[in-house]
This record gives sequence, C-alpha cells and structure tokens, in this order.
Amino acid sequence: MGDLSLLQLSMLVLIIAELSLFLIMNGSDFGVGMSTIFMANDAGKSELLRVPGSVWFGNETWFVVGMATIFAMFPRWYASLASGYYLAFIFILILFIFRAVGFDYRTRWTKNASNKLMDILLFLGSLIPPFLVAMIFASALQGVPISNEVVYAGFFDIVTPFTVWSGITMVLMCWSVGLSRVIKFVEGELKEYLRKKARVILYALFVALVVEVVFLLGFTTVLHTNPIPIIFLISIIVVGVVMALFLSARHIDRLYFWATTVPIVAFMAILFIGLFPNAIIDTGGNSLSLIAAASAYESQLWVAAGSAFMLPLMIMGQILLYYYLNKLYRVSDTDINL
Amino acid sequence: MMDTLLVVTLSRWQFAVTVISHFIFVPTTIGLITVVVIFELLYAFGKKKGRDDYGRLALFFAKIAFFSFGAGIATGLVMELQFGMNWSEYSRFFGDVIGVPIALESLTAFFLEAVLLGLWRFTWGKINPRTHALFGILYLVTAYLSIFWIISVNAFMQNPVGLHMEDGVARLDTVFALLQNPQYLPEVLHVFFGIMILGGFVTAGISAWQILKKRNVEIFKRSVQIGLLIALPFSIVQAMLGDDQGTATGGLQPMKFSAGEARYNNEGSDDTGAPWYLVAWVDEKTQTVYGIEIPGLGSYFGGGKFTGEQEGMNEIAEAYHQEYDETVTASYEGNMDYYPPVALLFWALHIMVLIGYYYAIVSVMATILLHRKKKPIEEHPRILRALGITMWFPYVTLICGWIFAEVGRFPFVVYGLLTQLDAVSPNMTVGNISTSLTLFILIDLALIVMMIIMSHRTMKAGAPDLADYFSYSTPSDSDNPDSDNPGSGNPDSDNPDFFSLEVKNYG
Repeated sequence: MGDLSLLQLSMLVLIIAELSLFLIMNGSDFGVGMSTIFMANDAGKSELLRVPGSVWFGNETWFVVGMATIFAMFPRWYASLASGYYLAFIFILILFIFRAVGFDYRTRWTKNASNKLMDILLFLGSLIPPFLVAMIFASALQGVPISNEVVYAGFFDIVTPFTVWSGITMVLMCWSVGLSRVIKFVEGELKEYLRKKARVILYALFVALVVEVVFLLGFTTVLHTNPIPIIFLISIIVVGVVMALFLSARHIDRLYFWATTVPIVAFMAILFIGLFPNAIIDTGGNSLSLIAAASAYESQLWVAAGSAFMLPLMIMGQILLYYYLNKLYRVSDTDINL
Repeated sequence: MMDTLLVVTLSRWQFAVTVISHFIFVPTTIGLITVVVIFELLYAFGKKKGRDDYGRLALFFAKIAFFSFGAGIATGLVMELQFGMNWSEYSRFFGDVIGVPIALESLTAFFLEAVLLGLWRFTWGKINPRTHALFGILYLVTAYLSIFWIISVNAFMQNPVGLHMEDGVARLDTVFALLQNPQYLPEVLHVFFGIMILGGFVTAGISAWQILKKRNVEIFKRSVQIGLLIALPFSIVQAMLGDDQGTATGGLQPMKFSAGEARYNNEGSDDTGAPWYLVAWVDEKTQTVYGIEIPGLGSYFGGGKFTGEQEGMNEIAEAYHQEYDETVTASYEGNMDYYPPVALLFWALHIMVLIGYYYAIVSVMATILLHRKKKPIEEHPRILRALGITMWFPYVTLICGWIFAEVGRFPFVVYGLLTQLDAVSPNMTVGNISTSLTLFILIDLALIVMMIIMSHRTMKAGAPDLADYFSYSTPSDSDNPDSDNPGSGNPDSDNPDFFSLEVKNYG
C-alpha cells in the first residue's frame, strides 16, 4: 500500500473532470428533456428539444469516456462499482435507450399517441439517469458492504435518505443548467415563461442543497476528515446558486448559464474528496482503496498519453459542433437534421 | 454451484442478446454511411450530369442510417458497461490489459463518432456541401477506428498475448503486442469486410426494391450498381480471407475448429483426406453425425492440402483435460467436458461459409447483368428480387460469425486463462440477471422492429427532393454561371442567406 503516484492523481482528477463534464453538458440535455413537461403542445416541446437535439449523444459519450478511463486506470474500481450497483446501471442504460428512442422517433409516427409515448420516454430518460448516477457515487461515499473487493449491497444499503437526496439534488442541478441553456436560445414569451420556471427550480435547488449538507454531515464523515475544502466547496455552491438567481433576474443569460454549472462541479468535488483515498467505502472498514484498484504503470501511461493526445481534438470537435449549432440555430430544420 | 451455473448461462445469454443487437445497428450505420459518403462526394465534387441524383441518394440512405445510429450508441454503452456489470472478475483480473484498448477506443473513436455525427447531421443542407462531405469523411474515420480498437479486445480474448502475471492479476506488456496478435489482423479485416459487404448488399437490396416498386427508378439504378460494386470485391476477398481465419483458428483453438466441422474422431492420414460436411445432422448425446460429405475438403480447410490428418474433438478434449483440469477449470470441480455446443457451432460456421460463397457468386452475376448497356436494369426483375432478399443475409452471416467466434470459446472467456464460471460477477443473483435479460430482450426487439418500420416508411416515401432539404444554394437551382462548383463564391461563413430564411415561430 503506497501512495498514489502523480500520474495516478492527475488521472483521477481527469476522471472527475470527465464525469463532471458529462453531468454539465449532458446534464443540460437532461434538464431540457425534463423541461418538456412545462410545454403543453408538441410545437413547444420541439422548440426546446432543438437545443440538445444534435449534441445529446455526443455529450452522453463523456460518460463512456469517464467510465472507460476508470476501467483502464482503476480496473478494480470499475469492476466493483459496475457489478455492485448492477440494477442502477442497468436502469441507467435502459433509460439512455429510452431517451435515444424518444429523440429519434418523437415526431415520426403517424399516430399521435405513439409520438406522445416517445415524449414520455424522453422525459423519463432525462429525469432518472442523473438521479441514479448521483445516487451511485453518493452511495459509494456513504458506504456499502464489501468483501474481497466485491460489493454485496442490498436495496436498502444503496437506497438511503442521503443517496436519494443526492439524486434529487443532482436532478435539480441538471434541470437548472438545462433551463439556463434553453433560455439563451428561445425568445419572447417563452423565454419569460421559462425564466419563471427556472427561478422556481433554483429556489428548490437551494432548499435541496441545505438538506443535502445536513445529510452529508449526518451520513458521512467528510466534514471530519476534510473540513476546510468541504466548507469551501459548500460555500462555492451557495455562491453559484445565489449568483444564478441574481444573473437570471438581471437577464445576463450567458453568465447565468455558467453560474448554474458551478454547483455540479463543486458537488462532484465534494463526493470525490470525501471518497479519497478510497474508491468505494466499506461499511465494515475494508474499503476498496484507489491504490489497490489501480492498474500498473504501463497501462496508465498508455491511457494518459491517449488522453493527452485526444482530449484537445475531442474538445475541438465539440466546440466545432456547438459553433455550428449557435450559428445555424435560426435556420429551420428538415427531417434529416432531427 | 447450481445457482452460479445458472447465473453464468443467463449472463451468457444476456451478452449474446446485447452484442447481437448492437451488431445489427453498428454495421448498418457504418456500412450505409460509407455508401452515403460516397454519394455525397459524388454530389459535391462530381460532374454536373447526375449530380443531383447522388445528392438525393445520400439523403435517402442517410435517413435510414440515422435511425440505427442512436440505437447503436445506446446499445454500445451497454456493451461497455457489461464488462464490469456482468463479468466483473474478468475486468478485475484483465482490466489492466483490456481496459486500455477500451479507453483508447472511447477517446479516439466513440466520443468523436457521436460528436461528428451530430455535426454532420445538424449541418446537412445548411452549409457548403463540400465542407459537409468532409464532416462525413471525418465521421467515417472515427467509426473505422472503433472497429480497430474493439477487435483488438476480442482478439485478446481469443488468443491472449501481450500480458504477464503480477500480484495475481494480468498486466499489460504494451499495446503494440495486442495489435501484433496473430489473431488480430485476420479478424479485424474479416469484420471490416463483413460490414462493407453488408453496406453494399443493403444498398443494392433497398435500391432493387425501389426499382421493382417503380419508385424513382432512374435514381435507384445508380445506387443498385454502386452497392454491387462495393459488395463485389469485398465478397470475393472475404471468401479467401475467411479460409485464412479458419486455418488460424484451427491452430489457436482446435476445439472450436473441430466443433465447427462436427468432427468427433480423428480423420484422414498422410495419404487420405478428412471429409467436409456440406450439411449435417449432429446428435451431440451420442456423438454421431449424419450428413453429406465432400471427401478431402476437411483437410484442405484445416491445412491447405487435400490429404493430412485432422484432429477430432475427442482427442482434443483429452488434451484439454490434461492441460486445464487442475488449474484453469478447477472451479468446475470436474464437471467440465470441454465440448462446446457442436450443432450450433457447426451450423453457424456452415451457414456463414455457404452464404459467403453465395455472395461472391451473386455479386459477380448481378454486377455483370446490371451493368450491361443492352438491357436496362428494370428488365431484370428476377435478379432485382434476388438482391432484395439477399440484403437480409449479411445480418445472418454476421450473427453466425459472432456465434461461432464467441460460443466456440467455451468454456473460456480469455482462451486458456479464465473460464466463464470464474469471470462472472460473484455477487450476481438469478433475480437480477433475469430482470435485466428480460428487459434487454424486449427493448432490443422493439428497437429492431422500430428501425425496420421507419426504414420501410422511408423507402415508401422515395428519394427526397433536394429543394426541400437545401437552404444552402444547391448547384442546380442557382443561376450563377459558376454553379458547377457548389458553394462557389459562397464561403460557408458569413452567408447572409442563413438568416433570411424562414424562422419557425412556435409562439
């Protein structure tokens, strides 16, 4: 049992960054999907869904990149996490399929009822995955029974007030990011209507975060082990939410969007600082440590080099996509673009 | 023990269901988009005559490909996470090795595939067609890269190289070792050619139906020819290459090879040849096989000559007992006879081989008949109907190929090093695996049915009209004398036309 090397530490930071990017970028797509519930008719829903329509599957692959990097850098973390939270992951995957079906087929059926069903699938596929993702990592922080690096968790080991509340908080965070993003694009009455809804979500998020902090103190030991960074991050979250409310009221939409992303990053940072130096905490005291989960130097080097080489290209690709999305947003779509 | 064996069986079924559905969508997407990019290049850079036809064909086939793309991404995620969810011990012990190509795949391919497809789809008809075609090419490069990496993982499982044991787990030597695996090159080419055959035949088949149904006959005459010209070379090379892969398998995994031939006892000698069954009925209980034999061909497929001894499964099983009973398969406590499902492997291999030769024949015949000037294409209803049916066969052969490759690995996950029983997640319960398996069967079936319904509707609608899709000035509807050059004088930025177009108003 040694300490993590610099390479391992930087790759851990990279993994957290990738998962946070997933929750911000795809989180905003989730948020837009959730917001379709505010729209009464199909035209309104379509108007909202044009925003994530061409980017959601690219953003979803940040999750793939994050999980695959965990796989190569910390194979035993990946193995224990994915098998330990089996049903949660299964439902994430299935709801991802629902969302894909919803996006692809929501206007393609001749029967209206079938199109409506697709909208429901899209809504569920947007609402539940962020909840489950946050629940999984919160549960790893709270602790589950582990023996021989294998997680043997029953339903009530995973579903606790803390994990459920973490999931709800994540849903609200994604919702507010999604709304702030959509508000940048739409115009007129719809913009003001959504702005009102977004404020409600932000107030709800504020309340959820207060309760979340109480649970964090009650169910985990993070504040005892790392008081200073945790208090700092909690204050960052508070600042982020307050700033979002302020900027939204002042109609400074670009900054308002960025303010809503702050809580997600800080929230992920809290979870992983709480976990460090472990990957999954054992209620019996034999936690799976990152060092025990790590792969050897050769594997790490390959993935580090691959990441260093590819991440700039990946980000450039995504910037290109968002550039065209912004530039051509007002050009109406044909059925090939949807 | 009983429960664990049931969990193993159900986990294998789940793997089969999810990988087969993934491998229905992925080759459809990659194969068709290869064709679409060819059409788009012909549209953007081709001669004025007939250019619009290619633009319409690109749109038509892209619509069908896009229906399978979203499903391909979603089912691909299932594949990636399944390594950890269902086969956690495999990931635990071999994650150092296989995690690396999977991570590199997500970095170099999966991510960019999704982003670039979004870019390509969103900008269609909105930007300069030449720039747009470039995005299509970029997408294709990343899609091919994903085959490059993923097959290296499978080749490792078929023939583990490039690893050493340390601290009780496998450690990676170097990624180059994975790519130098003797199993790798034939396998990756075999899969790639299979996808191209599918792309070619599906294009030709859909076009053939369109011609038979008299929808845009002149346009689809072009695509039926191009589809065939893609399928033809790959079908011929595949038939030769598949034989190479068979010989390689014979050396690396003798049990899989002999099961594919349904050969229980050693056959042939230095001056006699082992027979090859064209078709056969295999009784696995009594280990008897009744079928039509072709003398000598079995030796030829195994060793390249019509004479020579070929090992049967009985002798190979003896050798496996010696080699693995005490070590790798110890957890089976002696309940392991090493015989894979022989009838299944026999039929998977034989269907693939026989249809493979059929591809070569049908593509040669159809190419000759449909490229003749003498008689127009629409006057060949029989060959068109044959092509319309043949478009389903590549799905059958791809699935047969994977069944042979994967089921033939029995009982190993990593050949000779790790068994299915030892690879499966130890915390998996029958309840969990049954739940997920049922859900995947239902959802994957629904995905396939939806895909077929939507493709059929796209076919009925016929080739789309370019005018409906291009807000960017198209080469034909422009009065510009320079209109031979799409987008000439219209660099794709700062085009004021973008903003003068109809803006949807939902207020």
